[in-house]
Amino acid sequence: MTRSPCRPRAIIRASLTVLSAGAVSLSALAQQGPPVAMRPVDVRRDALVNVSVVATPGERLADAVVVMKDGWIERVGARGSFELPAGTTVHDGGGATVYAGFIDACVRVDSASAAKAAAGEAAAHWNTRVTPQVRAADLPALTTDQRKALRDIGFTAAAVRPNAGIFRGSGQVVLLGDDPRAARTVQEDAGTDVAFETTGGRPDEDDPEAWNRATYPGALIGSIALVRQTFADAAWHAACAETWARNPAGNDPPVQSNALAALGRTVHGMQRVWFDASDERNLLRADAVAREHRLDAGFIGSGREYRALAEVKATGRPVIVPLDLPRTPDVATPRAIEAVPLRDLAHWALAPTNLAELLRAGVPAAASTVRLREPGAFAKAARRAIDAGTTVDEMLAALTVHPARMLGIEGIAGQVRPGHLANLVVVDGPLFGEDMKVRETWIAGLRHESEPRSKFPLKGTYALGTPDAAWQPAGDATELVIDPDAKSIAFRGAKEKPGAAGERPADAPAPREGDGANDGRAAGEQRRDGRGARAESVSFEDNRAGFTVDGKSFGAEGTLRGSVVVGRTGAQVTLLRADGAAIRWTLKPSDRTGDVPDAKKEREARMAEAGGTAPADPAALRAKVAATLAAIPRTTPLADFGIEKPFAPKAVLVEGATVWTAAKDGIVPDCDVLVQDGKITAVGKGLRATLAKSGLEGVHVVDGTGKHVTPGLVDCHSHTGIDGGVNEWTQNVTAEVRIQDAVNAEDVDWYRQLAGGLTAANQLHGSANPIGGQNSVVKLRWGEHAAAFPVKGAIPGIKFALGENVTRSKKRYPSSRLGVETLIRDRFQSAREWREAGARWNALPAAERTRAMPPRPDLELEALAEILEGKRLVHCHSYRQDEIAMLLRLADDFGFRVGTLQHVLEGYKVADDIARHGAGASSFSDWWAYKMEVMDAIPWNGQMLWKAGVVTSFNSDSDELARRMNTEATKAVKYGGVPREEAIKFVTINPARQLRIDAMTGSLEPGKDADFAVWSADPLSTYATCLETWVDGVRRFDRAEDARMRARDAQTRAALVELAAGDWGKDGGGDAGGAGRGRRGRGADPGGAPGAPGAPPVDSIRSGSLLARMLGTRDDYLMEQVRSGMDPWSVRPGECGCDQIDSWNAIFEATSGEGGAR
Amino acid sequence: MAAALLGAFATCAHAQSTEIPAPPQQKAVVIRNVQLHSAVAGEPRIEKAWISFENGKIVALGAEPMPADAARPDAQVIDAPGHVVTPGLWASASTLGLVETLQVAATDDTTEFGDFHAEVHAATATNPDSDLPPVARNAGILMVHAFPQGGVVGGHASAMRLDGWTAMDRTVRADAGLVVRWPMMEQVQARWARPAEEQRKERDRRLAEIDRFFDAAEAYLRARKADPALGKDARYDSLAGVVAGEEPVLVDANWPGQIEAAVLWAARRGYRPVIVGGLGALDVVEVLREHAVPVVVSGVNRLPLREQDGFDAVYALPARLMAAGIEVSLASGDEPAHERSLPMQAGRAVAHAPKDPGLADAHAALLGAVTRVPAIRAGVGARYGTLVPGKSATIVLWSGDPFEGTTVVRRAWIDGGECDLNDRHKRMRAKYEEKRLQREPAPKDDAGPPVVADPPKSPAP
Repeated sequence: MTRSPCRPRAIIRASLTVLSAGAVSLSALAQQGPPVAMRPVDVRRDALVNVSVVATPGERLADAVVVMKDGWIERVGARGSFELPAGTTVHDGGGATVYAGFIDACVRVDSASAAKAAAGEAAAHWNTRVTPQVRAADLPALTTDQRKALRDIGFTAAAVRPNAGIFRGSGQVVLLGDDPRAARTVQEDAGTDVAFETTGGRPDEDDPEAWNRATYPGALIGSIALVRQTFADAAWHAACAETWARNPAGNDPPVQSNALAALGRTVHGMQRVWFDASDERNLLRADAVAREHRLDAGFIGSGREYRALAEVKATGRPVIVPLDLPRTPDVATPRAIEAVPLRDLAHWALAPTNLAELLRAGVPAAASTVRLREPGAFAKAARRAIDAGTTVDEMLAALTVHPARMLGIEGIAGQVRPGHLANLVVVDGPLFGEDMKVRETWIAGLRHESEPRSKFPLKGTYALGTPDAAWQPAGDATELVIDPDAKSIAFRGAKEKPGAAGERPADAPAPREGDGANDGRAAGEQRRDGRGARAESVSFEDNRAGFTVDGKSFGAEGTLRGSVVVGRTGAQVTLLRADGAAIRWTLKPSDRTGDVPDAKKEREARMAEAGGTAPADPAALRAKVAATLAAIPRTTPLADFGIEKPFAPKAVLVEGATVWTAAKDGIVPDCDVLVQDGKITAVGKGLRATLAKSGLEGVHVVDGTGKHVTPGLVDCHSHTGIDGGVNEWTQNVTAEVRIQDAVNAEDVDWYRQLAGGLTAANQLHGSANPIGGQNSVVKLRWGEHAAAFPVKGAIPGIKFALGENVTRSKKRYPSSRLGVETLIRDRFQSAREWREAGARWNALPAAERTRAMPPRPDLELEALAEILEGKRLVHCHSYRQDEIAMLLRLADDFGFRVGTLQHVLEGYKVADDIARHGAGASSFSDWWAYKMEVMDAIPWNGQMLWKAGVVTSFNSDSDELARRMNTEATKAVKYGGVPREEAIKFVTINPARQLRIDAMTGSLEPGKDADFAVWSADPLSTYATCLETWVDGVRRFDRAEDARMRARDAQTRAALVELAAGDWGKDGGGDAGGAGRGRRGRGADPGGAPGAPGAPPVDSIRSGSLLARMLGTRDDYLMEQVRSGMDPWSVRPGECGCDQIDSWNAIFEATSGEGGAR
Repeated sequence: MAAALLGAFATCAHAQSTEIPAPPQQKAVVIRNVQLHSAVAGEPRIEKAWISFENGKIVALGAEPMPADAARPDAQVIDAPGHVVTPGLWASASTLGLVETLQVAATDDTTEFGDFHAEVHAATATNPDSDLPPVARNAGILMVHAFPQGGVVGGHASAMRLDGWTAMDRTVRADAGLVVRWPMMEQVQARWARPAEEQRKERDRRLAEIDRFFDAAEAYLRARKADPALGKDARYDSLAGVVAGEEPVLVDANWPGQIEAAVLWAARRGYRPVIVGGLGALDVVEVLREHAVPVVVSGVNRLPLREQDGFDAVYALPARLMAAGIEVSLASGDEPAHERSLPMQAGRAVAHAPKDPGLADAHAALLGAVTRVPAIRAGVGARYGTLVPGKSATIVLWSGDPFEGTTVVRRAWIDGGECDLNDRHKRMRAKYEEKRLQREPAPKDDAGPPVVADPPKSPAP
């Protein structure tokens, strides 16, 4: 299937046939009531003249005319090139520029009640967040204010999309006018919206009873699994419907499902799915789902796409880009500067370039107000994007032709062309320049003024003659400044020259008494006489203005009431004292002495004088910004310690080191290791000689003298680099979720672990349910994106868990170790039967298969069936000997072998049983006593299991401990005297064997991947430090390189701090605040978790409610973690497990809780 | 001689039901031919040394050969070439003895209710029969500076011996510093965090609360001095030492802003601050140095505070602080069951110590950071922490470098009484070795490597 960024052709054509006959469709109101009096005859032919027209980006026609008829553009041309038809209303554009009306490809409307209604239907999906049947027609219309706010930016059409749930429903494209003719739908189908929303594991606020049903998915992995299963279900549902239609006899009718039925067109690629890609990682995840299910997909982006530009481009899909710019980071104090990671500084600096980078890479990108708290921030953000180097044409394209094409309305919108909708935006000043003003928009040929201009005829500075005064005014107010557009009137003294330095601008507060005598500013400055006075309560009517003004400036007590009344020949200015006495001036048009002073310029001039710093020359500032941005090393990840280009020599020769082979040769002194093309080709002495022919050309030589080399360390139990929660704990069986869906390659802990010699890790699901999610075996390819991390060819696995963690909740099954076994048995039985049913269907002759209902795809049972078939390894969290023995028995009964027992702290008690079964043991070296079931844990566990013949490893289960696995192996020597050459295997080849990646890694033998670490000393010594770490022959850590990167990052940081502290920072930020940040990929969550965009803001949650209390507890808990020295970004709500604890505590009054997965 | 010694260690394979506290030292002991680290600042180790102690006190020590008359003729002589002697290590800022099983609330006596409980003392509820201290002793940890937890003012830390029949036997000093947890000064910008303004308000509220509490305490103490008939306020009464600048304030603070604020607060009030935690201390090292504030680094096995901090930021922290002239002690920062990680943490701190002229011997400095300095912090530096004649004979005999992971504790004495080095782990191991033997009655000689770290037999009383 082609990945054309536009909608499937058939649909476009369909919409065009309806819509390009728009003369009819737009002019008649189908549901018009009967006329109450005379039938209105609407003459709708308007021409905009004296404008320049930008028909499409890059195509400008100066002094042009646009003729609109009945809502459509009839003609566009140079003035005088054609004659205006009779009956045309002519509008003088006053030299403004006309662009095609902007199109916002994503405006979200609250669909919570529609979703709730859909979830309550008889044939609703079991999960209340799956409501794709919600249609735009079910949604509340945009309010008058929302429309106006969008129009004021220049938008004339918008795709309105539902905002609640995971499958949120489908949107439509509407016009943004107020008149019904300019507010109708122009595209019925703007695609269906999907977001990886999670509950954060919480029950619905008002429905704690429903927690077990409603809380899934609690984590990103669960959300993705639910999306995958639902698309699979929809395809199956469609197949069932076809089968049923062909052959109802003897078949059960297809399951009634409004949700699955609503996705029928989607799974056939006939309706586009818009994925909420709340950061660049979620975008790539959504792409993977779309590829798997052959969907036509687009993304509602995050503004962070530039961080993975090549990958985003490779998806070939369109992106709706929010102009959601982060606020300028606080760089006011050293403490504040220390607290900002480079990741955030760089994002602040580069976010304004995101749109341009996407467009230049060829990604179809539409600029949108989505994710902005205030649509009004859009113009400011757009201006900033342009200041940061986006061209006006790029911005215009992102607002017109790109969104039109994405929404399938490019035939009728997005350009100023005859035959297109008469949707125009008329703009004074350069597009998104500082002085830009959206004067008006035309929508379906109807004019919408942004700000109705006052019809008051006077504007400018007028000389006041001698007044006709009832008393002697104190001063000599000699000028009157009238600005109906700014709704301002001010009197000024003669000595104040307009625009002069030190002058109070028209919009500055009125000077206080005595202000004029000496305001303390520099000598030589103009003396001010205090006659200036700014009017208050100003109102303008067509020919009259009213105001009040402080009498002091005119030698009167109290407030004077004033008016300006414009007559046929001039105007009367009157100031009325309370007693009725008045001062009067008469103004004639000839008294006009100048324009309204430019407040901004005056302010700048004043600031320049006061502060001594000249306002930044915009061009110079832009040049400085451009230079600073260009100097940011574009590393992967774009963060501290990011990699510019990995060091990957063709060949590496490590010479003269002590080599710990973790193979039959043991520990070999004075030994070489040769690496070619990422593989170890030789381990032995004097290898330089074998290179005699080619010599050392292109060979990177590592002097190993005095050093030690080990295989790269392997951690068989890790939770590092998993986005959005490691536990999908909301159901007792979640075999369908996959950690591989949530790998975060940007977690700096990967780098820190490389700095401890680690090269591979088993990323495991948490341990809150008996059957958890699928694991992910990765190599630490720091500097690459997530797609590069998985170890290709690793046998897949899954996390199981027994004991206290999974039975903690006493209100769900299982609540004791008794039920753990029966539940697991039941699910295996279920998987077996499901597989058998599938096999029977598959075995049917082709003709019969079309008549029999196909079996339902089931990601959960599929994973379990793979275990029974030996295609998937069980990694089972376990502590007590009884539960260990139970699992082994159960596995024997079902005919599979357990991959590893994780933790297995009482493994020493049943070491013989474990050895007999053949499971691996992946243990803590010496942890104990943190919970009841580990009171009998002993540090001899590893040695005793090893001695019994079990393949034994030590793991970390900790981002921190994984940085020093070498000295975990040391403890196998300390406790029980495992020989050193065997002890090193506990953290190298043994975990590799347990993960079935030992053919690739884990020992230093020819043919294996060149995964190794170089140490300063005996790696089992506490004093050993890791010098360099290589993965696949690529150097991923090196101490000298590390020092270089620190210097590099410090330099970048300094430049960005300077930028943030300067004018670019002042004008700086957008309104996004912290949203879109988060190195762990919490990013701009698609919602669900309160406090995330898309979900109700935390303050909108009822205070005192259960949810509010739980959130309060959570925040306090997390804050305490930070207070006691944890990086705020390492604190993972939902991942630390505290959410579970809180939920359980709150709902089940559980007495104790446990974090994490151990 | 050596063989005899090691042979004597390697007999007991059977579990004891419990570990028996040592009686007061009855017989003089001389240890000979060991590498000796006195942990006295600036004093180099003695490669081949002897040390004698009796009645719980060190009598003398020196380089071999030992003068013939240096020890009583009836002294027990332990000849241990290749072995290392150091003072007993301290578990600093620890909850050892206050909690048994972290996730079983009923076993947790670390935290009193409320935010201000200055009146409580850790010594009150350190359980002498906890299974955890014997495990710590096997890592050479013989003393603990136990901290109550929770709230803003947590209570008084206590200096405890890790042997003795009762909590009273074990207590060396009950008032060993007031534990204060400093509020977060910086605003956290993470997504889950409350708005910055709200955080600022919350912080200011907490700071005001702290000041109110100590203002009231100072006023009370002045009033009571003037009028002893004034009713007694248990909370404020317990603060006399702190207010007088005698008992230190042990301020838990990690972020630079916290540290800075806490130090300036204490300086303003004339208190003696100690920073506990200290992850960000290097950023405010000038203020620490100016006020001569010591730091208890709560473990090097911690992730760096911030993304931009180097992978070794915490590993190298103790040494960097020392090189900058700060007096540093090292705590494990770990849960009480895992205090035994302390020696290896010290080793890691040595391994990552920067080459700095201010820190010529990182190993000696770190040894001081787990012996001498914590004893001073606990207010008992005159009696514990170094090997000096007249001081307590609280001594560890190690199989090698105490900071190496493979090193084991051979013997240990607290105030001259020899510790029972059995523990729950060894008991469980012995029990299941028994199972193995029952199931495999005739183990082959090559069944596995020899067990080299058997627990020593309890000394006969």
